[in-house]
Amino acid sequence: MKVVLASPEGARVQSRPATVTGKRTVAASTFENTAREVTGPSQQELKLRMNSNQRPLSPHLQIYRPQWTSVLSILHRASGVALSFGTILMVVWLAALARGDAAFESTLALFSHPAVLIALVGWTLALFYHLLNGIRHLLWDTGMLLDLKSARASGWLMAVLALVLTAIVWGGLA
Amino acid sequence: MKTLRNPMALARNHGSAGSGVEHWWAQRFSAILLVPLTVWLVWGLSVLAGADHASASAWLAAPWNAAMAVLLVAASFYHARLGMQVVIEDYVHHRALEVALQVLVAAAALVGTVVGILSILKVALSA
Repeated sequence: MKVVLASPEGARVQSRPATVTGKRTVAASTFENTAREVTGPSQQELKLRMNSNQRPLSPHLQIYRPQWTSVLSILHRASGVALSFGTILMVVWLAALARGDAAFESTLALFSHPAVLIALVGWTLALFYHLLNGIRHLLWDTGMLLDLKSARASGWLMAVLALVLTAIVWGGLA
Repeated sequence: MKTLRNPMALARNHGSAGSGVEHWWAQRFSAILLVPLTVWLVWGLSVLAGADHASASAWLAAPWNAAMAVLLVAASFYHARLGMQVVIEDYVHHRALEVALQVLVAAAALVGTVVGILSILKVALSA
């Protein structure tokens, strides 16, 4: 790349600054005249904004009206965070199994506490939701089902299926 | 199609964060691996419901189940770490807290992976 920059051609471009500079001066002054007529934040205020936390932010969640597809997308994140914590429960179960009979029994007793049971039902729902919606995301990555109608329909199918599968698992256990 | 990106950035295959393509692919690869592993997990949980220590150990000690469990633990924590990383990047705006949380999540994922796999190996090898 250095060879190209040092070539005679590059040098020739640099040897013609007069015309370029002349043109640029005209263009720049025209721009400045136009810019002065537009009312907006002063240079000082802009400087202050850039140096503080008052810099403009792009619109966030609270700006947009919730839609079926956006709600499902947010729930994918939420279920993912929930599953991250849920994975710890899986390791607790495995470690209890490795530690022996007594530790396993006391961990099972802990898991049958009502509060933990509710968390486990939530974990099951999050698992099915994240699995099915994850497959939906993977299909989108290939370019499939991206139109609005398919995105809504697959969203409904996935959400209902996640609820049904959770009901089947816990209905079978109860 | 004309692109507005810097040619050098395109050549390096990097986005504005300096990375991202690798993260995106790692998240997808682990997601694809987790699809059959999660189906196996649900089947396993239905088998193990109400199992005592002896029968649960015997089930996990079966080579096929032990292998799937090791893969599940590793892929789960890897995928969870990648996801939590992005969530923290997006929502935690205090830089020091953000870095602290990233370190904590990475460490927790590592500890979880090691404890999980060692537990499975202990059960599988002592049965």
